[in-house]
Amino acid sequence: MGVAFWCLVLIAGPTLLLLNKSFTPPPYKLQSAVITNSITELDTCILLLSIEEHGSLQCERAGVSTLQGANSAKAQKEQELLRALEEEASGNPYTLSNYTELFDRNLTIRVMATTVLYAIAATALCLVIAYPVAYNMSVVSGRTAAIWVFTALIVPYCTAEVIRIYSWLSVFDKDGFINSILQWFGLSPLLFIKAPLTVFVVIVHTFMLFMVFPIYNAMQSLDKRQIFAARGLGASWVQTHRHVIIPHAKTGIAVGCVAVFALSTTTLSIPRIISRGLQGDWFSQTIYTKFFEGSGANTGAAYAAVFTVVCIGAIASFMWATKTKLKDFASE
Amino acid sequence: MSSKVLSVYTWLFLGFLFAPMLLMISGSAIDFGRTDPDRLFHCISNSFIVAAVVVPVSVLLGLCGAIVVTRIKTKYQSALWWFLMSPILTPGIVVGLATLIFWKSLDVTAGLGTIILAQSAFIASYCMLVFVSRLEKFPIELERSALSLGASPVQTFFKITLQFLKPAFISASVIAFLISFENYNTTMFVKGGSCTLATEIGDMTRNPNGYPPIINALGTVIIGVTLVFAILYTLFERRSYART
Repeated sequence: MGVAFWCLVLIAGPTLLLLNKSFTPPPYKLQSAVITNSITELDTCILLLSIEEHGSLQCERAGVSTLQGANSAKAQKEQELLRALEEEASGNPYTLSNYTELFDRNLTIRVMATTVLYAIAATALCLVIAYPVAYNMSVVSGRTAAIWVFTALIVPYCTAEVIRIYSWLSVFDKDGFINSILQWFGLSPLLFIKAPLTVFVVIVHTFMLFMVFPIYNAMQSLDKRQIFAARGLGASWVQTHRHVIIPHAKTGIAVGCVAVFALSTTTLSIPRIISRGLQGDWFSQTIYTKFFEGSGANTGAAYAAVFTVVCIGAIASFMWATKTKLKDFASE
Repeated sequence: MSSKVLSVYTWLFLGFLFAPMLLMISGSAIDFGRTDPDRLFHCISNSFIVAAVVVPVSVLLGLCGAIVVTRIKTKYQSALWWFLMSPILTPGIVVGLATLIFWKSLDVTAGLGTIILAQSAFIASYCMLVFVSRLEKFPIELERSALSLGASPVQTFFKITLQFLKPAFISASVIAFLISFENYNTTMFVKGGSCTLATEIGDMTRNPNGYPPIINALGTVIIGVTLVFAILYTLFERRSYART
């Protein structure tokens, strides 16, 4: 018992590592934009003063009187630098400016909303496609057939995700399968990878198993005689599904939907590999580019924090609405 | 509902699942020109190294978490669940990002170490799920009777609980290995300059001027290995089922 408790600390370690420390960077900004700007202007002014005698617009803007010349400009610059250092050292430059920037820019919000909407659509489509398969495997087919179908399902998912995504490239790419057929017919190749629908199809394909599996598990425990009884009492197939099978499989459906939704909103591999960055509608890509390419590391972190809250909020409200508990995930 | 219709539908579904991969396999017969096999080999070995550390760490952490969650019942049960599950629920990219930021603030450079840390964080949660589902089927009376017969808690744990969990160990390890090996989202953030197989394939395919067909060959090999294992496993399952 004591051992287990001590181990909990070990688990809390990495988790705390994630949760707590992810909050530190987003609000933290080293120098305010104002000071950075004024230092840049002063630099320009000093440079100009060294080339020509009189200053120019830059110096006027920076508040340096050209009569006083380069020395005064340099002195002012030193003042500004001191101010900047003070701000850094004051130790509490937590600002919400990273977060407000997120809301200021309409484009970012639009991308986030689009990502979530696409994810919801992908989840719905996965559910519709996966349900008959799970039904077939658990209720209709014999045991042997079910095992083989099961294996056939697991194989694609044991191969790395990137391999499967890559294989879709050979279908959709410029010289891929579909375009080759089009060219054979004399039509010009289509740029599939630019369309959001392409990424959407790949998402549905990639995460399909995560929907089939929980529904299949939930349906497994359904007593088939209930179905026979319902049919025998005169229920149509629609009614049987609606009143007998679906309520029983509800946990599985909810778990599947949550899993697919969580995976689709936050997938980075699929938009990045399939669209090569051409398709801008995926928020995970926005976070990645913001964080690594350019100096917007802090804004990238803020974006990530907001996105996490949005995702977990959506998942939590869905789980509350369908009365699923986290424990049900364990029966995957 | 006609089972014929369902069968046809299932076949179509399986076809949809397998089609892209079959296409990829068929493309692997081309010669591999401009590849850098050294770098690729380095990345593949990185993947294995990372997995070799992540699997034991995550399995152990998952085991601990599962035991705590199933044995110790407090009022905060549900909060505890959410806390321990949070690495799975937070987006993989955020997991990577937060790990990177945390360790950078402690002056640890991004690389294989950070990859291992980030991956263990959320793979441990997955392992915990596996152990919990196995532990729920554990008859608690066995533990109690062992304790009442004079075994110490440590002995009980090692000789009874752990033995019962052996299949869970295997599935947890396999799942941990697979997730670690193919992980892209999280690894992309924490890898710094290093690479794993997944990120290398991702980067190679991003080149719009075409990518070396060695990826096709790699993919074929991976699919082939998985297929062999899956068929063996199914045959084994069928035999043990037939025996019961």
